[in-house]
Amino acid sequence: MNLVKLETEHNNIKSYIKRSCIICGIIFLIVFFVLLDGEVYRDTNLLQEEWPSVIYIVTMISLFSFSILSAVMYSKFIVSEYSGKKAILLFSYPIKRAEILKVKCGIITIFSFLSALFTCALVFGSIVIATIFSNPGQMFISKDNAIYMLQMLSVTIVFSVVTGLISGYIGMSGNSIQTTIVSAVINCVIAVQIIGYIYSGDYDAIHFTKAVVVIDLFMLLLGIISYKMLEFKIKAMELE
Amino acid sequence: MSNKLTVLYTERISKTYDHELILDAVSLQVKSGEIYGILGPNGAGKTTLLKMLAGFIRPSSGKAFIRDIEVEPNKEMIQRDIGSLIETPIFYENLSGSKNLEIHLKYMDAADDIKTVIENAMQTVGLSVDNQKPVSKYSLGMRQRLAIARSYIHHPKLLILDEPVNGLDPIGLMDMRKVFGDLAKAGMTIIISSHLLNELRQIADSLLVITDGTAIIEDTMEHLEQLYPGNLEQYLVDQMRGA
Repeated sequence: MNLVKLETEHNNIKSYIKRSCIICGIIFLIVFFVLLDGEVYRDTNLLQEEWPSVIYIVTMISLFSFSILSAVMYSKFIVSEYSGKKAILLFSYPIKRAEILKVKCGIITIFSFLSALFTCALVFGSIVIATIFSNPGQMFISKDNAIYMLQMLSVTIVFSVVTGLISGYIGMSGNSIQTTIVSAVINCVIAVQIIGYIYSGDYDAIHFTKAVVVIDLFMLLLGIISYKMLEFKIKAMELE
Repeated sequence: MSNKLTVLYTERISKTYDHELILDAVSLQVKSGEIYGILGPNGAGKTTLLKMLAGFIRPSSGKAFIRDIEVEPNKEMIQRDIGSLIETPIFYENLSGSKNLEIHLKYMDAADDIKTVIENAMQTVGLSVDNQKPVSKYSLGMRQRLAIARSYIHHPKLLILDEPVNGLDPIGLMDMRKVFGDLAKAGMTIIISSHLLNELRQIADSLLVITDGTAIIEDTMEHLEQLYPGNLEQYLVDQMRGA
């Protein structure tokens, strides 16, 4: 616990909380002022038609934004701290290198998970609340839309968490913060393309669920491999 | 001196980078409470040796031991007993000097009254504890003083300092000499590298001379002064040139 506190303290976690809130606010504004145009939630039929688009756009913007934020955190917490001569600071502490890495990755993972979850929950929750108040007694979200929302939420969270980790490993291999960020952008573009491709056909809840589970598991596997490779690299590292 | 316990020793420690031999089978012994100087020209392998002693790089062959514990497989464990300043001081640049020391003490799991320890350490090296400027705004000399304070603030048993007075003005130089002397008197063992004999002559009890990665002399300073009265510097330069 002490290590978690120290890592968040010297890496200035508050600045990332601030950035996360800004992303959340921007997504919130996009949904309410652009997508819903202030009126859609008054008409439940229209809202049911709009829900999939709203869900898709909110989750894709969240996925992109929080994946990049997560990569930025990896570049600060790990890439910059283990690059060049700076590694001497972490190597001079009587704590196992793997233990410090575990704490750093744990902080970023939990942060990315909560940021993506909180943002999506806040935006969707706000729409639902607005709909309930505007149309008392009416169905505010269909079963298909609810399932779709959960599917997209799981993809968003998994990608936000794992993309940063993969980019962190790539950045660490190139000893470069720029490499971390560029690889995160490329990873996000690929992710959005894949999800868009899967979603482009007629929506079938069962098939889409299967696709989401496969994508999530594949990404988690990639995340575990990236983490293990990162751990191996840092354990074997020598000071320049 | 010879009755004192050996705190650190190496057994033919070597380092090779890309097939280039940087350090060749160096063996040394450092006794408890002494100031051990490592002298050598630039590029002799002093920093590489110190990095291996501190566990920051692996020896290509040979072993280093601190209090009979082999450094490489226990590099994290031994950090509790080591304080080091090797090459350019590195800090958390956005934080103040005292905050950097506080974080260091917490990572080191220091149990003392942190605030008082920081105040004392900063005063000792001539820095103001009230200075809340981030370290990025510190001058070279201030950074060096802060790095020296950080190296010993957690009361290590062994202090490893690589050219620690670089960037200090004459006053700072004298102050730091006194700090190292006081720490040694208090029982801390100190290893200091330098390329200036006069610097080590004033504070070191023993001297190791390295050139081109090879240790050519290891002796007490007192014995060397007795052997070469008045011309020690010339003798050492001749040895370094001839090696």
